[in-house]
Amino acid sequence: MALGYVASLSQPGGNLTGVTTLNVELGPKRLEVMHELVPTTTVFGLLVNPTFFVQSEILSRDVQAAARSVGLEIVVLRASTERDLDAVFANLSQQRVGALVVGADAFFNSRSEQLAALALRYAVPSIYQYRPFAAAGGLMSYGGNIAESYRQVGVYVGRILKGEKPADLPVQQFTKVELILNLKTARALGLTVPLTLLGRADEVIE
Amino acid sequence: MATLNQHIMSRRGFCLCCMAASTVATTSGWLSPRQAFAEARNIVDLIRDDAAKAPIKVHKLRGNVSILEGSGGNIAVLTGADGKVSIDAGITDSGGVSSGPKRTRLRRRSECRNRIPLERGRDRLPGFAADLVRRGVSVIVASTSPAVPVAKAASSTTPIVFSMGATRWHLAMSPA
Repeated sequence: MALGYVASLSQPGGNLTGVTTLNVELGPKRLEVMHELVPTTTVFGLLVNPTFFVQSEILSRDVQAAARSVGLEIVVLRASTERDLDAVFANLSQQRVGALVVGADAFFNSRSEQLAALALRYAVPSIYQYRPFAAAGGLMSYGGNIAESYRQVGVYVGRILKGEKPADLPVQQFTKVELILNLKTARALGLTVPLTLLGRADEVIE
Repeated sequence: MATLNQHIMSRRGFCLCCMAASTVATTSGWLSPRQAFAEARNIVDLIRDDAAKAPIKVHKLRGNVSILEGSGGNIAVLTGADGKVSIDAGITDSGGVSSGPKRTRLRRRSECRNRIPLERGRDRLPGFAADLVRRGVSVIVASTSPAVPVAKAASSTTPIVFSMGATRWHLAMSPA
């Protein structure tokens, strides 16, 4: 399943190098954080983009395995267009989904505001990867710091412009993750954020 | 009594006197369709002319990063000992504002993000990547998973720096 973009992470070879952030690995953790906030909910939705089949399948497998281990049920929801997103949220109550974990995906990144607005409209506690989701009114985000990874991209671009070769610049993986909580949204949804979660938040939006 | 200001309407509701006036205007050479079309100027030319006249304000941000504010979108400029790097998604004439011993322009082709939904924009990525290679850019920055394979397919020599969410096995042939 490896895509083989680079020969190795320490010496990429070829003309390509860069920065990665944690992605599908954090799916089960997002479920755990969400379950901590809504402990009485037993049916969780997992939103994935089927366009990236391999990635969405791995995420579904990992999150379902994590859910089984704590007795939760996962409903996998698929969306790859704006219209799909509207349809997914409209059907959540029919599928008894009490909270939503949004899978990491480039299309979802570009629709953070729409996702946050839909989650609010349908009053579904939701968690996503990046801060813009929480900043747009989404309940929580748990994932890497995208600004930090772009800063490192800028550093690499500078080094290449000064003459270094991408083949010699190791692929960097950021493992730092941050939890952003939107307390205003939590209040709107009638949720009380436990102190254990509040204390772990890197940022609280009020 | 009918006044002179009243329009004469046809059975289907068209104003006959206005139609007659339009016909006279176009056939007598005041505003022939060909001339009218020739007078119309495309939006790029209008933007270029406006850009040539508009004053450019320089706002220093922090470090050696500045923003140039002109007639259109802003341009970010990084100034260093080797020259300047400008990040500009605008039309070509804006490039004239930057100078130095070594000038590298980074063309941002992800500008479509705000205008074209990603599910449709993805089809255009190969064209954007090919365009960047044809322009001879020094580096391509590929952001997000869909852009990386497209950039890699477009060139085996232009340096590519990516930013994406990915596992280690996802990227490498061997996880060394």
